[in-house]
Amino acid sequence: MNDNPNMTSQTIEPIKDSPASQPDVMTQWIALSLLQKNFFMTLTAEVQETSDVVENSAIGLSHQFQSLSHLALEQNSRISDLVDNMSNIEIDDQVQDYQNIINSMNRVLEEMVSSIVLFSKEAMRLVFTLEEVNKDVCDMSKALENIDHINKQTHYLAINAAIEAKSSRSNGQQNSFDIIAQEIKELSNNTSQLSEQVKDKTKRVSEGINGTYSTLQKIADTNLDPQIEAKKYIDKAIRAIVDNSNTQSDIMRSALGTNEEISKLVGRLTMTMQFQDFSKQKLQHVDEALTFLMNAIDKQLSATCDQDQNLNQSNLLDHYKDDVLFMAEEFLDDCGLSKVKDKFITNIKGENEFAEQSKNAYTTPSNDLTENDNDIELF
Amino acid sequence: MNYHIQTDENTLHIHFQGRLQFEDHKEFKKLIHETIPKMKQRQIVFNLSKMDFIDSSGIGMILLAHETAKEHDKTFHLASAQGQVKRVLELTRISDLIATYNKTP
Repeated sequence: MNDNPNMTSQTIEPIKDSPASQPDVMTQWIALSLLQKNFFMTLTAEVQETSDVVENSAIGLSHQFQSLSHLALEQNSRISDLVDNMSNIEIDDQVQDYQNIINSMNRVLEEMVSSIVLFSKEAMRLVFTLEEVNKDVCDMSKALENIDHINKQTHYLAINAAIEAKSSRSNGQQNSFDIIAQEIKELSNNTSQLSEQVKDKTKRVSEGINGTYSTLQKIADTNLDPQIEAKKYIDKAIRAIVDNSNTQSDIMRSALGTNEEISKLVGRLTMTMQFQDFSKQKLQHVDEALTFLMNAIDKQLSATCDQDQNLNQSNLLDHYKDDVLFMAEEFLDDCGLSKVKDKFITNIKGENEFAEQSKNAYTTPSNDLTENDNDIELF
Repeated sequence: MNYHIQTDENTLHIHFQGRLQFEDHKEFKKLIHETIPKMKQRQIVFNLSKMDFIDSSGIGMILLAHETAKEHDKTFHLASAQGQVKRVLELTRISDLIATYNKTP
């Protein structure tokens, strides 16, 4: 791009002959030198401006890369916290990993299930026993009804026996009383049997009740402390998991915020790196101006050779080599860049490798990254 | 709960069908108390392949049946549990107490 009207790649016409008077060679060279000086002042300002832009951009990039580095470290720390938080949990001030928690909870649940199984078995035993007791109580109730019936019959028989006994004694007869006595004896035997039955049933009911009592005692005696402790532990574990989850959300939220910052910073970095465009344009202007000057000098040299038949442009440098070298060394004494100076001298001496050497003077750094690149200290 | 009994020389098989839950306790108790004390075989197998559902009282009844079998020196096995019944047996780790087989032993 060429936006500077003073700089053009067009070849300048050599100093033209004036129709009035033809300036001599010396005048032409002085005019050219003045033009060169003017150009060099402008170019120096351009180069200085480019240098300032490069320097300021480099400083800006340095700061932005430092910020990026800090943000990346913060993210690292956050991810490390997240990893710790996702694999560990704190219960009763003790850090445990999730696998342990899961194993503990599994153990607790297995114990609870075992207790439920035990309760189920004992509860069914209780049900079976109560069923037996219920059946026995029903039998006892029937037996008691029978006893009541026998008692009533005995009572009637006793009355009849008393009547018959009185009558027998008055009539001198004994048989009726004997029959009644026999009946009473039979009833008495039945009562005894029933009594035995009731006694037997009572014993079984008693045993049933004792069995029930024993089962209830077993259930009541079951130590529920492990279950209660297990519940407490599970509550704590769940609370700790919820806390962990909240912490993870906070970390992720914070990481998202940092990511946004990184994104903005990368945007700013990209903008800052556009100094390269600006510098390239400036250096192109300088290059074009220098080319223009080189062409102008060539033309002036050609014009000078045309006026002096002793001079030939092709061997001009050989012809004035010693003078040029003398002048060059004198000027270049003040030049600080010894490498550039040497190349310049070499070029004047005729070893035309300057252009090639210039190309290779500053090699591009390798793009191969090593594992230690993280250790590079930014500016 | 439905069931049918099948016997061979050494084993008495009780094949259950349907659900085993609290309301079946009378029938179950009768089955156990009438079968185990009188059986001549050495072992008893509860075949659960057709049992669809079991609850905690069913688990309790099976454990009581196992206890009754032990009291009468019989070997007690569970076999061929499927679906929910299999899951409950695994969850309650019944196999720690009673020999359990995927197929009839």
